[in-house]
Amino acid sequence: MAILELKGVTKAFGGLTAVSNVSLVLEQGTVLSLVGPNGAGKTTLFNLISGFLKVTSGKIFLKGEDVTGVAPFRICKKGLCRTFQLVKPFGDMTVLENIVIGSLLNTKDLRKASEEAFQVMEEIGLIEKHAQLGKNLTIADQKRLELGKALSTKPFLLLLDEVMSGLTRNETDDLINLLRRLAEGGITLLLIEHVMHAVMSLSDRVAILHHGEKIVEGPPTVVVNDPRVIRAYLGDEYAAP
Amino acid sequence: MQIIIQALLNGILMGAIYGVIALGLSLIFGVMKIINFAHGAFIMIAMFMAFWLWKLVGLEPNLSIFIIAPALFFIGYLTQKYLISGLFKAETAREPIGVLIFTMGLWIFLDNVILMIFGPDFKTITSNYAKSTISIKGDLILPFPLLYAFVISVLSIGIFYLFLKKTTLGKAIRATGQDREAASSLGIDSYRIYNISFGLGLTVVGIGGGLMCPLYYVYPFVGDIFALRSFVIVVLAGIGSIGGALWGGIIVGIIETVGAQYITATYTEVLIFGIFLLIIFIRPSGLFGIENE
Amino acid sequence: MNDAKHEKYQSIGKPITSWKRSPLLFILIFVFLLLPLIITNPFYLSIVILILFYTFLSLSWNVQGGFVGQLSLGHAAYAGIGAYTSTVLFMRLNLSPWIGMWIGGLFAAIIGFAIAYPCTKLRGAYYALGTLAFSLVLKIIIENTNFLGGAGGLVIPLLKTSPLHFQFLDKKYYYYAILLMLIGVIYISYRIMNSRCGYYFRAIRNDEDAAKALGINSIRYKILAAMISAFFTGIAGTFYAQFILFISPERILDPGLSFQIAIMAIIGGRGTIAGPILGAFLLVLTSEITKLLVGGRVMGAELVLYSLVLMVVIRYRPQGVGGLVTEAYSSIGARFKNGRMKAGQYGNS
Repeated sequence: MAILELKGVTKAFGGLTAVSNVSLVLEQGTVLSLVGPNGAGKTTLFNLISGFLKVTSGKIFLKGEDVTGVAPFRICKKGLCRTFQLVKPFGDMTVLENIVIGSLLNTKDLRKASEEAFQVMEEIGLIEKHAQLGKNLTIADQKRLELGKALSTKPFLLLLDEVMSGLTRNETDDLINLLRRLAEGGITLLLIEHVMHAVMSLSDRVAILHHGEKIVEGPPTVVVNDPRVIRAYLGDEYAAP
Repeated sequence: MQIIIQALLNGILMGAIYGVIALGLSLIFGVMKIINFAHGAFIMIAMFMAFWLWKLVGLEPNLSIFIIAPALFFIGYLTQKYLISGLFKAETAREPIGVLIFTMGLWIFLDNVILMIFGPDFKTITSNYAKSTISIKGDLILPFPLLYAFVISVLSIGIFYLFLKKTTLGKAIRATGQDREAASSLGIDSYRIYNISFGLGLTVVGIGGGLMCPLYYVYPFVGDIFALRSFVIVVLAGIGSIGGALWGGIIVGIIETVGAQYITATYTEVLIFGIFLLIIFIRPSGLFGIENE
Repeated sequence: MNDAKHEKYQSIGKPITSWKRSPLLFILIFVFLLLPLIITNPFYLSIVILILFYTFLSLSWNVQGGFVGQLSLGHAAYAGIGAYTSTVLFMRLNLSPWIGMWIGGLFAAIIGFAIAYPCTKLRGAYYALGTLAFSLVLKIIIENTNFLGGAGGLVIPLLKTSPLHFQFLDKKYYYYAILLMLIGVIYISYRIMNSRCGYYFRAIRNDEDAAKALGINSIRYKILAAMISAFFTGIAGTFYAQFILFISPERILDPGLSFQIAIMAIIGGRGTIAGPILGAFLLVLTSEITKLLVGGRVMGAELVLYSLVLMVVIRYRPQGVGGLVTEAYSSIGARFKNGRMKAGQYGNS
């Protein structure tokens, strides 16, 4: 049974169609990257899957269960967690408290939640800054925090929206390793990414979104060389005839 | 039947004044996304100015609005520039509530400082002008100030509409309201626009308030009633709709005057509150306004 | 899981506010318990009672306006509901206000739900206006309802001293009653803040979308905060009725009251526990002292003062002045205890 399945998902805002008839199947433990030019509808798709936006038509299935139109908090409770491209830290709370919020999904006990939070902070490398307020972190750390919050909910499906942007090469590699470990541990990853190095090394499959449509899907090496993709990114002159 | 027509007429005329006042609120929100809780207090200030200009200098409101309007413009300009701007800039997008609380503080402050200085007593202009009436077809009697107010209000709304649509400054204001960053990349100084917008928002309040002075008792909290009407109108008409402000004003005016024939004045207040609550649940973007995301 | 390593870092099983550890708390409790023996003049004692009353109201408001961050400008409605409920039950059914108080609080909570349920999705300003509109509607309705006394209000029958019926001739019993209530609301606020519920409240206040993305049913929690807040405010209404022995729409349902308690909490620092306490003490004390110096009420002077302070505070220290006091206290304490790690550094909001 697929972890995530999208069937003909479409989102239209008045006259503008942001996402058009997107279908997708994600198997457990795999990593799929959503790639595409800005405005292609990637984040809109995330919003639809995670319940922040209602689909105009189409269906979304999580582990076989129809979650189309379900409220965001319920979707998180079912095991899907998403990060935001424009990070949303809890500014007036410490890093520790931020991550504890995520841990509190699975336990009511504050002490236990904080123990788990410390583990997460160690994994993402924020443990030294656990007492800093969210709003005082650097952008890079806020991005890490964003990931940490999502991880602490112990999801089986993670939707990561441009988590790699703004990181140094080393930080990117660390994060790639972390994500790979997560996938190997059974967590399914759906990434929106522009950092091609990460996309190529992490993904099992890549899907290209353009003007809201999925134009190509397949293994990274295949997709990258597909003429439709080249056309979408670079224009007609560059596509092979 | 006669009474209804009279009430209807009164409602329409009054409604135009409500509309012009509501415009002030709508403009400030439309451009700066500030909900000016002190709106009512400024209405009251305009009314107090009109009263005292008559009391001390003998200037009737139909003329004094030409002084009050510019005066309120400057008050608005300075308020935005020196009081609100600082807060605005210090604000993070996360908590726009600081400006809201500030305008709330300003509202309470203005209402009560006037209370302290002038006391709670009701004042009213007792000049001949204020009492003058016009009769139509012999049966319908209209206070002349009301008719005059209607004309000036509609004119003001019209001029305002043309200003925003046709003049460079007007376009700059609309541009800043739609997309501040895009506007500044075109060389528009948004902070200056904000100051001007707040000033203009209060100018129409000055006009409306001054016009209303001979029609109502003036006391420190008189503005609050009209402020609530304004909120209802803005919610009814939608932000950014100038024509909507006029129509919304007229609708509220009619409900008020016709409603008063059937239920007591206090329950008319309840009715208006009720409409307000109803609209914000059902259609927060108003009847005429642009759909917000 | 490496326990030894993590012991190095303070875990948050320990409370956010470390007041339990501080000697100041015990000194304060001690002083307040003995206060009526020091201040025997009933006039001054009344002022202290008033301060505690407003503090209670401010802390009650804080659960909704501070913890979860939803600005309500109509809290007077809940106080009014509490006051009228217990009074009517007492006058018609001879039900002791001690019991009527809880019923009033419950009723207020139900109304809190009725307002919050449809309104929680509204943008902040509209929610505030909605609550204000509602409290004004309630005021008008009661003014026009005769069996509730109309605009003239209700006079609570004087029983002199009747502990069973929450009436005392000697003010000091009222003092202890409100002090007990205040300690209760402080304790409950503290417990809320240090529970999952409190953490969720804070998350919602900081960023509701991010909270939803982490599995928090923000609507449910916002409504819960509204109900808790309404409940306590309702109880305060009963205290007011029993203390003043007269309730009227003009006093207990006045929007001015709603503004006052909101302003106190905001100035002191909404979202904290010390904040509303400090804000209420500061403002009521200043206003009472000014009244004594100026020799009586000048209409509007109180709110002029409050609103001025509010504007200054919001402009220059939007998180409230309460933090200044707790920071000052911490730094004094740190000087006495150099070397020992102060728990207060961690999220001492």
